[in-house]
Amino acid sequence: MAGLGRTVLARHRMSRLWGLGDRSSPSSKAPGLVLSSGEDIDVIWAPFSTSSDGSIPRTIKLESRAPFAPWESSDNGPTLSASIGHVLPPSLDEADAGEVASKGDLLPISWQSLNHDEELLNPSLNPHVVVLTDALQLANRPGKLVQAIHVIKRRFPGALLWAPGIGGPDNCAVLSWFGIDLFDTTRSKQAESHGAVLTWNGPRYLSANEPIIDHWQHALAETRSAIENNSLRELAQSQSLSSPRLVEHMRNFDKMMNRESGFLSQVVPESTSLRIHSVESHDDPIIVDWVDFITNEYQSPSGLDDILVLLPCSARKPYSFSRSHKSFHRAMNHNAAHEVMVTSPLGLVPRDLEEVWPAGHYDIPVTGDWTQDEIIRVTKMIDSLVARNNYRVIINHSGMEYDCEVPVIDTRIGESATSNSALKRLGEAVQENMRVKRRSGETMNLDKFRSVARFHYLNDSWLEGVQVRGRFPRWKVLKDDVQIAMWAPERGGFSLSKASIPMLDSLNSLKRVHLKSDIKWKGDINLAILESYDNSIRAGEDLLVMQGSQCLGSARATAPGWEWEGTPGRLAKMHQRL
Amino acid sequence: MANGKLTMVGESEKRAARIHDLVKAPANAPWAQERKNSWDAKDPATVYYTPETLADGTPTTALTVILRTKGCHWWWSSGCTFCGYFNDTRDDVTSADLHSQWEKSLARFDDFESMGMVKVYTSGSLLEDREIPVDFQERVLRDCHEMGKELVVESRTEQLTKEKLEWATSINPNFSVAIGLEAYDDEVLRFHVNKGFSIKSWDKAVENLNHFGLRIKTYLMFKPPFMSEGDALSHGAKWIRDVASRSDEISVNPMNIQRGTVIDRLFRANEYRPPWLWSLIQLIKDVHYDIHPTNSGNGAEDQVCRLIIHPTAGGKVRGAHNCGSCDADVVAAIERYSVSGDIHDLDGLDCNCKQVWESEILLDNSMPIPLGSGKNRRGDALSHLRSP
Repeated sequence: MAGLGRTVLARHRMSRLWGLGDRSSPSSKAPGLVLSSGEDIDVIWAPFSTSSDGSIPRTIKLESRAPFAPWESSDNGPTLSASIGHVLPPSLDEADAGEVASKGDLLPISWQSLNHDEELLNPSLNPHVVVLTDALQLANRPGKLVQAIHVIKRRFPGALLWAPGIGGPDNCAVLSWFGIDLFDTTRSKQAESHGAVLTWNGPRYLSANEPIIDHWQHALAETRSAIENNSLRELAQSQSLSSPRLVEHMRNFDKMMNRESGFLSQVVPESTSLRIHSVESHDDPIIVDWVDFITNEYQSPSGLDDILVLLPCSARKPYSFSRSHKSFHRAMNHNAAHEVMVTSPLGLVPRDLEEVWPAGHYDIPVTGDWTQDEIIRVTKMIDSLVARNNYRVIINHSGMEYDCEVPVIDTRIGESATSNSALKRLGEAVQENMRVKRRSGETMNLDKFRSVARFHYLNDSWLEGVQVRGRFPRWKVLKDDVQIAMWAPERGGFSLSKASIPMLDSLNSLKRVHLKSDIKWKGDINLAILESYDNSIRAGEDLLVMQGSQCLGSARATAPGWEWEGTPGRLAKMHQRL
Repeated sequence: MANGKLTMVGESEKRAARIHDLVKAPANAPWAQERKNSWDAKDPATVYYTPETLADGTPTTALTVILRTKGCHWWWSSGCTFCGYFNDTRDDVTSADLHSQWEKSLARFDDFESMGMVKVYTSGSLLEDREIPVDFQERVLRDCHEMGKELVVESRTEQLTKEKLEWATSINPNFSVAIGLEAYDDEVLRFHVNKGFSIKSWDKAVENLNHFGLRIKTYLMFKPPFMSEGDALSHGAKWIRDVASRSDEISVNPMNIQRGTVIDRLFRANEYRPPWLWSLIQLIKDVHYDIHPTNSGNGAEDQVCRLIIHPTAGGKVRGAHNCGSCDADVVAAIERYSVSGDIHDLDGLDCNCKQVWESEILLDNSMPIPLGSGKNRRGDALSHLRSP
């Protein structure tokens, strides 16, 4: 069987930008199109074409339109083929059709086979392309389409996924977001047969003398770019508004993903922004994950549980860099209160976590009005924070009403947060209630670092008895005068030094991946050398690399946990080699 | 993995059903039971007459007598995927009941005086002894022969043995047997139709019928469940060619949705649509010159067989239909053709929806969408075109 050369060029949660063919100069990419006979679209947009023999059940062919196996041949290839078997409609899923699709590099799957075909569990099955043959029918059944897609993605993370008949320029960002890699022009042709055109925004009739535009190329270009820029969520969200079904799929997908792990990022490129511009985004798993962490796991820095100061958020991130927060600090003139920002939809962001993803990178429209849902979410989070700490007083400068058994001082009284009188009241409230001493700069840094360690890693024990040296912003963390880490503001996290690795290993502070016993680790971690992994790994996360019981060093996850089961190429990059 | 069932989606404790379990389930539904128990087995289900053509081509009137019976033995053990005949059957129907139904039919239509042809349908096979008592089989064969009426009966294939036909022709030497072959393709018979017999069984039955000089009518199903429009069209044409020389008449039955059937369930789940009327037109055009090489019409010397299509519920969404504006004209043309066998009866048909149909066929043929790419044909096109 010929291989299909494919490399992940960029990734964003369940979606990936694939390069096809030569790894260093791919001749096409996915998300892309599968053409049928008579169609001609540049190969950069349309890597494959398909045909069928018309028999019952059918044999289908998927032909590469460029040399995607250049190490084998300079001709176009490979050509994959499969029998799609007998497919019962999804509504009859309790029945077993009994005649399954062939198993090979091209793997047809239906809801039926997901329910009944045991061969799909065969560990040696490793398809290049999976075809979800009843995607069109599944899309009619609430929640089933995203479920089927997701089950397939997790089972065959190394395969390209094609869902024939459902893609269009009006939903390719949404379907890519779910993890579909290949589309076709079925719906565009259906629109054409009605004298209509399918655009980015859905179907419409052509205007008189309207010039022909290739809506597919436009849509694929936007989608591919959004995967590269970590902005596919926003694109999918806005595109989904063109059809009620898409909005349903998006909601069902969020609901499903909120029960999953191993697909989010821990560290993102500095330029990444989480643009939460609509309320639909409030259920984005990255937000739900944050809310869940703050509500259930967050532990405030020790000694900071005397006075809680609730502050409003700022447009600039991290908040400390904003003019308003500088004013708050001047007014408070003290640094030993537990400062927690009230914001939507993240709910609460403690000062000690203000630099991490996503808290340090989000962007929201602000009108000053809170919806009932937002109020409920934030109130619940403050309640939980108050319950888990011993606050004596709460100074509420956030502008959102809050009440509980602990005395609350409202320093806003309806006024702007940065008005002179409000700032004065904030300052007075802090002065009158503060009973502890100021923290040293080193303590403030350590409080932050320990908090971030608890958020990013399995524990913060490795920061016991360390010193912080150097200068803002790239603080050095020293243990017995040896540098074990550096604060990397562009990561919103640490950069671990070699010296830290044995400590992290003995204190069990990082997730681990295990390499096969008979290999010598030289660089990237990929499937060929991998023995086992933790499937909750997040992209960008630091990992301990093990061989048997020996720790070889650390690596940074390139791919989140869901991909580690079978994605070709680099899964993690060596960071420290002992 | 309990019971060897897959764990990829959902719960897997339950043993998987077979298709025929699904086929049979609706018959036990309360509404079906209630309906089943509501009728009197002394009365026939339906008796009606239609214009017809005798074997020699003369126009006549045919009386169709649909009897209430114990049903079909294949249904007792399994059942065809599209079958809705369980509504007119009940275990307690006796021979006396059948005679009573027959007598009432005779009485209601003056002993069939004005009829040239009588079709006796039993929601099963008339010549199957487990379904129909032999004395009643004999009554029907004999009465029709004595009254000089051309008799048409329906049967599955396995009843049409030499022995049985020898007996039957000894009573009535000249009747027609209509066999619901549905598809001349073993895969389709097995998976899509769950027919319970193979094409070999039909081949044998036809050989036997020929031996006794009986007329053969072949029913083919157009667009069985779990099949796309494109597959239905290309395979339907092939089946007609395969059986034409061995049939006196081929009756193509475009699928229609009967209450309580598996098809009904698919239809309501938006997973199945009855065929396009354009497909029927195309089907006729594709095979016409194979069965009427010189287009000389039904009854002509060189005709290979007759091809008739009566689209049940034609033009309605539960029957073969188009966009809603051209349906009446297209149905009328198909009906005209079924009488005349003249391809020019189909001339001049056109509509905007024909392009939509053409596109669907092309897509079904090129894309791996085995359940079909089609969408609703009526209502606001733009809303149907929105993303699924």
